[in-house]
Amino acid sequence: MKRQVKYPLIVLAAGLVLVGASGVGATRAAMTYQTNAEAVDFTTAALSVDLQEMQDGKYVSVDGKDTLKFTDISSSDFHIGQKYNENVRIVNTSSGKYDEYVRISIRKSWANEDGTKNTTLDPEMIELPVADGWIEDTSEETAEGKVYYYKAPVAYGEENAIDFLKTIKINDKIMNYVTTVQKKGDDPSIKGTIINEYKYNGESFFVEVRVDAVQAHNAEEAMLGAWGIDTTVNESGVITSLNGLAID
Amino acid sequence: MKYKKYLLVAAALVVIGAASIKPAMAYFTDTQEATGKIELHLGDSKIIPDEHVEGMTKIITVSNTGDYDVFVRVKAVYGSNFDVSLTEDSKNNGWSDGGDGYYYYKDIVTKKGTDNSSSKEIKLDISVKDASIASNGFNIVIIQEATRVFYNEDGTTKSNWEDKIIVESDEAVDVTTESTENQGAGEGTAPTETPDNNNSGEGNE
Repeated sequence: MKRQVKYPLIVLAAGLVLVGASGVGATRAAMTYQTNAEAVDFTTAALSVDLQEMQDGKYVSVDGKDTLKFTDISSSDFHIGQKYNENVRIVNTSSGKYDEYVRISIRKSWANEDGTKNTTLDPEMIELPVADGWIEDTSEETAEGKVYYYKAPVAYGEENAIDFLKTIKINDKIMNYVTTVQKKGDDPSIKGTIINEYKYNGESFFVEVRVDAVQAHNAEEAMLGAWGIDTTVNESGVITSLNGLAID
Repeated sequence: MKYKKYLLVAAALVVIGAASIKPAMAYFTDTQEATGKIELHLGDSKIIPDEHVEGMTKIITVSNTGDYDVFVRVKAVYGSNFDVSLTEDSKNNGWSDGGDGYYYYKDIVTKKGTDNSSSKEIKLDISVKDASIASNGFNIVIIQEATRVFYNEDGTTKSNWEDKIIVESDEAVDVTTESTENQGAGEGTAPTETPDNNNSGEGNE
């Protein structure tokens, strides 16, 4: 049985009144005050490192083949045994001004005139002493190359640049390696003359420097993940052990 | 119906498996590499004497005709009736008596084409001990030798007249009496080569 509403029109009117009343009172807002939302500068870390060599008195970024110029040597006669200045340093150029840990891999060898490597000559004759503060990873050492880690994180900027190389010298023992050859010719004044041919004559010494940088945040995991080395880092960020060997 | 159930279970397993794969994370890194090289030139130089006589004084200069710097020394060989001494001028020019029969020049004689490629003069005064047995003419033989210049770390130089070299000989040396006589003979030729072999030049007066 269909239920019937008594006085449907009255119900309708009551409904309308209800709706109207609720609309009127409801639009009420508390006084609010708002400034423009500040734009939050949110950049992800763009970690970056720069390798620089001092050329003619100024530091210049070196990147790529044959970019190390050794200007102190090439500016005058090259004397074997003399110590020349060779300044190479690392600068943290990260855009977010983040600290980073750096490591350097340096390789030296002798090459012939046509550029092929000459493995009979001793790379130890090329003396490139490393500045203070670098820890060598002796497990990576070969006759040709060594790997060094800088013990503390490098802060951003040129004023925090870290020196890696300061001098270069070729050991004068290379002068002792000669082959004696009899001079050829029928001229009686030279027959029987013996001359020295220096083994290192015409050879070039070749140096390759490579720098890697990794974020300083989560130092131990970062270095393990990026470089595969096991380190312990203390509160100030200084590396205190490398691959299980303590460093003082 | 059963097939659909298995499908559902399989799908569920796939979803769980996919969720457990960790997202690939990398640490921020950067790298840069540079290389460079320099060529070396090593070798020996040939020195040439230049000598003449004025009265009873023999005057000698030594010239470097090669591409490398050398230190030089000079020795005079003469009969027992004679005596040779270094003049004061020579000492001022940088020559000194080494006490072993050789006169040493203190500076480097640089490679040819440079300012110091000839040494300054050395003058040797000759005196006859016993005039009664002196003949009309006599010879004073001058021997000159050169050795490589060694550099210290600070760029100062040093010479090593006894320096030993590690030698590999290419072939047997053919030295007949004829050729040794010719070695360095003739007016004013002086192969200098290594100090170890002490190849010397002979000039006759």
